[in-house]
Amino acid sequence: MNINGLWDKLEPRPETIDIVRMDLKEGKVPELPFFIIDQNEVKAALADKLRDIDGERMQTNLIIGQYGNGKTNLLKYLQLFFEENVGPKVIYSRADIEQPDIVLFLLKIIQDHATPLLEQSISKLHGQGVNYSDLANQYRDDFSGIREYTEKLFSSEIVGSSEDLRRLIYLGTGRLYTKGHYTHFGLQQLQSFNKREVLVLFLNILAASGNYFIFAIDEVEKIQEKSKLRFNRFLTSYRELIDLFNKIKGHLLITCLTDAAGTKIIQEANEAFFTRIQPDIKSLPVISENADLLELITYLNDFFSAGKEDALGPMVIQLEKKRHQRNRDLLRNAIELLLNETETISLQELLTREQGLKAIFEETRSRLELEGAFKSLHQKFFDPLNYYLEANFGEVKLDRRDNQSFIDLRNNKTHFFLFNEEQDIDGINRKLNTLIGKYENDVIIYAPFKLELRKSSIRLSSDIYQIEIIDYDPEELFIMLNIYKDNFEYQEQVSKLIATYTKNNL
Amino acid sequence: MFDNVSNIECYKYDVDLSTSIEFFCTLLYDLGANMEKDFHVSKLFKDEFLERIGYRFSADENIDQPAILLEIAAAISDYVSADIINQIDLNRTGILFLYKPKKLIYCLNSVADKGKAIKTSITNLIKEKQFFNFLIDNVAFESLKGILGRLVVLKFNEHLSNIVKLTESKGGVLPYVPIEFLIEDLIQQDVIESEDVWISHSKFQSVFEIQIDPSQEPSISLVLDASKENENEIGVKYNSLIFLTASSVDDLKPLIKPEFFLDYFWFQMHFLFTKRLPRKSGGDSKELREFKAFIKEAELNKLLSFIQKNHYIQGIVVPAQFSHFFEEVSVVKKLDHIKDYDFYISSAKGKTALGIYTNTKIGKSFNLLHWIKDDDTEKGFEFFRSDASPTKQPQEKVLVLKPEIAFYFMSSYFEDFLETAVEELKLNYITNFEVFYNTDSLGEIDCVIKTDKKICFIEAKTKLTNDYIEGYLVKCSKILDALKPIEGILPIEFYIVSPYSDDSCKLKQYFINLNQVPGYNVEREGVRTVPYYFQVPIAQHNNALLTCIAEPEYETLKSLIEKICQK
Repeated sequence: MNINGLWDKLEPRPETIDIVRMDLKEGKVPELPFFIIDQNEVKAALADKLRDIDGERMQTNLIIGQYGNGKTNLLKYLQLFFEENVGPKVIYSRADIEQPDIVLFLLKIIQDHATPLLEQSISKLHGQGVNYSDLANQYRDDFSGIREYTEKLFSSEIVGSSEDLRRLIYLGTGRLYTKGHYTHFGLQQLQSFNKREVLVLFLNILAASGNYFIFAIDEVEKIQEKSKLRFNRFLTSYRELIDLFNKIKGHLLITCLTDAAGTKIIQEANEAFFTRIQPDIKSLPVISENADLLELITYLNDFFSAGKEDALGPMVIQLEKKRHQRNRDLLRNAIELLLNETETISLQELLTREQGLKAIFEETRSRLELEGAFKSLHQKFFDPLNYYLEANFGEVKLDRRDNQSFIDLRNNKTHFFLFNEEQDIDGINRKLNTLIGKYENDVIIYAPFKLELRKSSIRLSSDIYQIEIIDYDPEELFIMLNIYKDNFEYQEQVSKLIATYTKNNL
Repeated sequence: MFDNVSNIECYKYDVDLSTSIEFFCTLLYDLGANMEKDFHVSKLFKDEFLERIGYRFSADENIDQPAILLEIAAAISDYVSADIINQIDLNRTGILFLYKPKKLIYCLNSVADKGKAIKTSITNLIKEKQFFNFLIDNVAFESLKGILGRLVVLKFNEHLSNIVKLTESKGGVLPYVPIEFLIEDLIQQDVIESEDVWISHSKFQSVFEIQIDPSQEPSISLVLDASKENENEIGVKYNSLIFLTASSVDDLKPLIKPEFFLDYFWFQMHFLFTKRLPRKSGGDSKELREFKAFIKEAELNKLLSFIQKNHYIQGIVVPAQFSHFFEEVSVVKKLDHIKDYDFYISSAKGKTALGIYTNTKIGKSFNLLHWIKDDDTEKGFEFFRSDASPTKQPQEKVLVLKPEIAFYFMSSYFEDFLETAVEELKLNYITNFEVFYNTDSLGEIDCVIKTDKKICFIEAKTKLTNDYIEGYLVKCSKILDALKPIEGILPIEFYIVSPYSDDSCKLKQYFINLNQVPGYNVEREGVRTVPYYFQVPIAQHNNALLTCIAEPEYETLKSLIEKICQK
């Protein structure tokens, strides 16, 4: 497929600019999926794949990058790009820890996003008199198991009845599965065993009618974090799917994984999968080249109409010096420089500034890890916090069990700590309203970075009270609090560090 | 709007048996590899079993046996973890409703323990299922089956403690809404597998009073928001009810037919906003039961208007049919040092009626403060305070309500009076509950009624007084604050209703004069207290009024309420 202008700058819509402004105001790093700086390896790989998306086989890329390096941004760029340009449909989804089988997961995606399209495609192909067995590998080998099903799907009586056609598709995608429904169509029950072939059939039907898809699956690491066996299931099913790629005419599957769960883990978990995917693994490194930094800052200067054309050179030098470890931090820093805002200093930088702190930090981290202290952080967090607060805040009231909060009675503030990066926003809002009702204070929310909590998603039942969100890594703050508690000689340094880390709130 | 204090919670469940299944498969493999000559992992399980769980061997010869084993274990774990929920008897858990595709469960009263009890019961039911036996049945080697059969006696329970995870999905949910509430054009229905929905018939009967006929095949479908293309799920339709599996109360608002706004609000009152308070059980005696049976009797209603200080009658003749509710006693008042206390005592000829001794010495008095004795005539008392001669006074006799009745009269008489009336009128009502706004309790609410057109909040008091009116006005104002979102959409009215009144109501004379109602705000024959009917404005809420009513006669009050509800 000929795709023009891929990787060019996209024109942001007015409403997205508003969101970006809002994020900036709250001190968040905004999502800017309108332009991808650098990352030439990934761009080239994806451009190649996209050129052949209507080709003779399905393709895949596994994108690896550490948290904050732009994986989601990249997927969102593709989504935006193909909203405005002719080409494949992009379906973005997050990995489902409860459905590690990628084949069943993709069938579910097709069911949720493409059922009507499948119906139309089947009618169209039926009308054109296409040879259906070609869509199912001529029923060779394992495909013999879906011969009956395929023939039924394209039979005139089914194509003529929209209700039956839909039911029959649902038998394939999995929404319907009991014997009664098969009997209704006079079919043998399909086993989960046959689902791989059904997926191939559906993808071929879509392709044959000119509908190509990019299936973008983000945050695969969640499955890996959840359970070893589920991750194995994911990788095995992924491998099985790759082995079927030569029977699928087109489409592209992009999966994303954080660095922490990187290639080594994949290799250890499933060697067979690894050997297949290896050439298609692409990583998103940190942007560090001078030219790229200049491109970034120039782009941002235009984007925000900052009018700093003459000062961009020195900014690049400053950015380069910082050697940011994450593209998200780099982006934040670049925006701060451009918009004259106070620079956020990363913890790593803070640690290296103070004599000896980095070493004790790492030492404490590994000790706590060994003690298993990070496992139930929400319980263990408050002991060192209490110690720290008693020394620095005097009168301390903790509401730890039900509300995970510290009530600063002197300054009338409630400090509310979130530990779970998966927490749903309704739950957070409910808790916040309880806290406000109970203590009638302004609230400072400490939210894990990955939660990406934004003020715009907070709903308070009363607007009398102010909310401030501090993004943090619960483990990092916990380590600092422990250093404070256990190392008298570092107390002064660490309390300064904690204050900076929490934007002078603790 | 009021706070959501529903006792129905929704959780997302996840069953993960992978730890135990991996352990078990590894054990199997190790045993097999040591026991069987031609052992290969591909021969470990029966073919049809592998087919059923969806595992297929790869043609790739580079995959070693331990890796294949792990793949098989993963496939088994996936299959069994998903299937086991179909195997257990959900009636034995506290689950109300379960929806498999989204792994949602709704249950009752799990808020306090965050679903722990439910989690434990599901875990235990899974343990009971002994799924290891299911795996053993599918092992292809007979010799291994025997050994494993003996091994599973060990149960391996340590692997089974953390297999069920519940995460709070959305707190306090509307369990269902009738589909007739929703605008047909805005929704779509789509087919789903009826096996995916499970409902506790018994709980629906006991909690929601909804009968589900088990012999009838339920009509089940997925209900979608027709205006959206993706992420458009609203809930699951079960017969004429929609269980909200995806939509929140707020999402639903634009889909509700205007003519059902009131019913929708009422639904939320029932399931989300009201925390029911336990009914005071009160005492029990033959007389109390008889008294309650007379609650609707106008003669008794009138007689009770003569009750003073909520418990006694003085100076009038009690009709014979009610006399057994009363007891004649003597009152002793204003005794030195205990002036604030009245004593009700009985007297017997020449006998001591009451002696009072204090354990804490008061001034120069003896610790034996008072000694009161009948004067041998049953008409007077002798009051002893020292060895000096007693003072004499005639006995003051009153008729008091017998103890159970007296306390019932003070605590629940009028609430029952009102509830009986509301019940007889066949109105939709909720009594005795608490509502919250921004986590503050707005206090106990005696009764709320839904009519065809409006919602009426009713405060029941045994006696209408200025203090009660003022107190309730504050509550009304808070309720109206909470109900801002439906202001102007649904009519809300407030009433304070009593059988009796006292003189303090005259403080509201200005409002009484504004709108005279015939037969009220003037004395009525045969009734000691003045019946009232007037309205006072509720502060900070334009045009909102509190209607104050004192009407002693049951039937009259009932027809008053009926008229109010018809308006």
